[in-house]
Amino acid sequence: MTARKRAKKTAKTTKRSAKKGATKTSSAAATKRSKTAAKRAVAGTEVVGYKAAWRVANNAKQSDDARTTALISLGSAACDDSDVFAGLIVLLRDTATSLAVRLGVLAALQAASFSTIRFAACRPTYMTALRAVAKDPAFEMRQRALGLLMREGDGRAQTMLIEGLENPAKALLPPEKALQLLAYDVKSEAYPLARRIVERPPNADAKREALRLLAADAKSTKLFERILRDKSETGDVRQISAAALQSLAPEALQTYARDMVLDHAESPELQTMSLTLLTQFGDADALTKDARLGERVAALHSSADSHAVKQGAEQFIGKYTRGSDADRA
Amino acid sequence: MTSPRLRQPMTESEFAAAITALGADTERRATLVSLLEETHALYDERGAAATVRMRGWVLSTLAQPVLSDAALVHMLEELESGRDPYLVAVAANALRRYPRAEPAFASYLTRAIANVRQHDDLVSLTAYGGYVDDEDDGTTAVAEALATLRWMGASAAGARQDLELLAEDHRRGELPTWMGREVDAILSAIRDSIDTTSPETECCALPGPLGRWWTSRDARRDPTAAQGIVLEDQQGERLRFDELFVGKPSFVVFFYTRCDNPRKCSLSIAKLATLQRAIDASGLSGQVRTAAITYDPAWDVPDRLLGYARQRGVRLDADHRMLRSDPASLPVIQRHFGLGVNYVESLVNRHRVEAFVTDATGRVAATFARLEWNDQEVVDRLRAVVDEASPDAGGARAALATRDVAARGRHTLSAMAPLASVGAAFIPKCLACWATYLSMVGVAGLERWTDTSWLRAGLLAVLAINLASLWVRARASGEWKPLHLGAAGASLILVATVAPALAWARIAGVALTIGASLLTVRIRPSAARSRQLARRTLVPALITPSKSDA
Repeated sequence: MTARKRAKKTAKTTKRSAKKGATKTSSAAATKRSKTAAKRAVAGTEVVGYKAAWRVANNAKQSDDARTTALISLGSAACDDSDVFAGLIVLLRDTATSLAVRLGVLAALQAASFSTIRFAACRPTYMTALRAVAKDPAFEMRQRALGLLMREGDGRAQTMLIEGLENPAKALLPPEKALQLLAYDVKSEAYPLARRIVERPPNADAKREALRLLAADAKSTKLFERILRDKSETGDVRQISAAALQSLAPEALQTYARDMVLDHAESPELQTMSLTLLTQFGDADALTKDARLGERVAALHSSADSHAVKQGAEQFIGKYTRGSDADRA
Repeated sequence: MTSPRLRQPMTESEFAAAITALGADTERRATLVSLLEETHALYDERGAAATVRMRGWVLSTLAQPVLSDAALVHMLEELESGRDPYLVAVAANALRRYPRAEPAFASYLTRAIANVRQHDDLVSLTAYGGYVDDEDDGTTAVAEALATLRWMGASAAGARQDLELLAEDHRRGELPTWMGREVDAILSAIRDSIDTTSPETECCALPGPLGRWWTSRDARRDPTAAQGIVLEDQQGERLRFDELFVGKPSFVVFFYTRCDNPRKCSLSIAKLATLQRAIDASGLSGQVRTAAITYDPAWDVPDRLLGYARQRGVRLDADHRMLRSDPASLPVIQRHFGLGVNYVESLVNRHRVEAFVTDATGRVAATFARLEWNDQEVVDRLRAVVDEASPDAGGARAALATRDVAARGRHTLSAMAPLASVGAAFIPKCLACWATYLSMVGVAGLERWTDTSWLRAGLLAVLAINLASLWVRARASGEWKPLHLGAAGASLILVATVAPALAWARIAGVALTIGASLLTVRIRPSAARSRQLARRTLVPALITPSKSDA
């Protein structure tokens, strides 16, 4: 039986049960029901719990709040029970169901997927459903689905995002979000696109995300060096470049950090970052003997306007002048 | 019908159509196997996901209508170390088109199930890219692997243990019902066919030496282009290719730390650690080297190489290193070894499992590609290369012997230093001193020793030898204090010869000279600097490589 057919059968059964429940009003029947429920409760409260929760979650007449609360309580039953799983997939794909409930379904499936061994049987169907809702009319559904797919290294999701960057008419997400998700796969074909976006960004967020994506590629080292040295670039972009160079060219970054500390016209943010870089990752031998740098840091420590710069200077002095003081003594 | 030409650049749609046409072209069909080489230009600058789609389409086309021997190793490779459900499904399905159910297939199929079970996917074996749009369509990698095991019937007996573990998982509720039923059916077929009265037959050799080839001495690639390349090891020490790989056979494996497939690079380096122990156990320790070279030199800086090796228990010393080349030199390394790797920008988009044995001249003598090597086959191949009797090997051994002589020469020079200093200390520096010495052996002939000019010449010569020895040692070690001390000592001794009244100068000079020599013997030069220096020592002829080493 296919998943769709199973879900339809379950839906019919649920309707029939609801009708039956509405017409039976006798106290005898009510007593019988409560006895049955009690038996089941003794046998396994989880079985009673999740089935009842599923009945609520799958009932369009219930409020969104009630349904999403019920979905949270499904736990591992979201996959363990094949009927529940099939029903969840149907709800996920159903654009007529409210967005809140569909996002609740996604959350329930995502929670179940953390148990990778138990979820293994459900994963193929789950991934196929995610690819379908990656093109959903609702933005939030698309964003969540694409995020989950990209974390799994899905090639189809990657193709969709790249197509959207190349042709905005096909874009499923804003460029900055697409770039952020593409960065999950360092082996994607997004690098030339990211470089174009750095040169001609549609917005500042997109430029930042493009730079973060490029940080995995050693061929981008020169680009990051140029941006780091360019004072016309914003502070956050220069800091992203510094972070990238820490992986790609750590020795060169030390030289730039030194230059930025010595530069009286450099911004406090970049000076603070530079002092931290030198303190954490610098060559202790060279820095201890660097008299010019030492004097500059001492001056910053005593007279910088920025508290963050002073703190950074203090940490540098604490690390690199203690040793030389001991020598002098 | 003429099949379209494969040209760069082409879209994936164009590629898919071209492959389909090639598959239908009986004359050109065989060229499809060449499209599975990672280095094929069609994969240049393709992302990893695109490479998977393209490879999958070639693999599935190759499997129709019959899977050839040439394509078999690629299918087994995907089953053994692949993680992409589409490629694993294609490969598992393809085995059912091989002319016979080889018993060796079974363990590859159960390995594939283990690799992909927890991130399986619905795939289409008929649509390019393998994607399905409906949960009711498609198949999964595990389903295909189990279907092929079912097809094998009794031939799957070699995987019985793995299948029984899966059955155990099913009893624990960790397998879906359909999968448990399949496993039970396969096990039943195996049990029904087992003849308990006949002895167990050996399982399960592959049909042919897949993924291995040995290159005869005459055919080995000339290493000249690679000789001058500088590689950096996990400690930041920089050595030339010939310093690393000439002189002894080596086992060289390729990897990179950003590899996201634990069945490839991580496993290869972990296996390198076990191979090192196997080499020791086989008695080849000291006769061979091992090395791991990264595909990703810009990213894999020494600290990363060191951490990666340590986490996997790899031994590191002068004969066992983790290496990276200069990124600009990587193409030379690729050509020398014939690597199976390609890139998108600086990132690896696809590579095969690969390792090599090089001979004592640095030439590739054996290749282990695509399928995991086992320690014994590598040790056997290393031993064969060590034992090679050939002019090249003789030259390599001569070079080794020459290097030993050079090393002994350097040690001799170093050993001379204290003797020279002691000699300088005890040579009489004045007539009275000579008189004292000679009186110890009798005064006969004393009147003949009144000429001291040759004494001074001899003293100068001995002091010069002492200082030269100290200089050689200082260049090798980078420690110049002994030379400075020796020079000071020699100066004081010379002062004492012209001003005998300055006894303190004589005593101080002797003390400084002896001290300098004793100090220099205690300092060990670095191996790299010794080799550099060996080219410029006073005895260059001893260490010049013979032409037969090339």
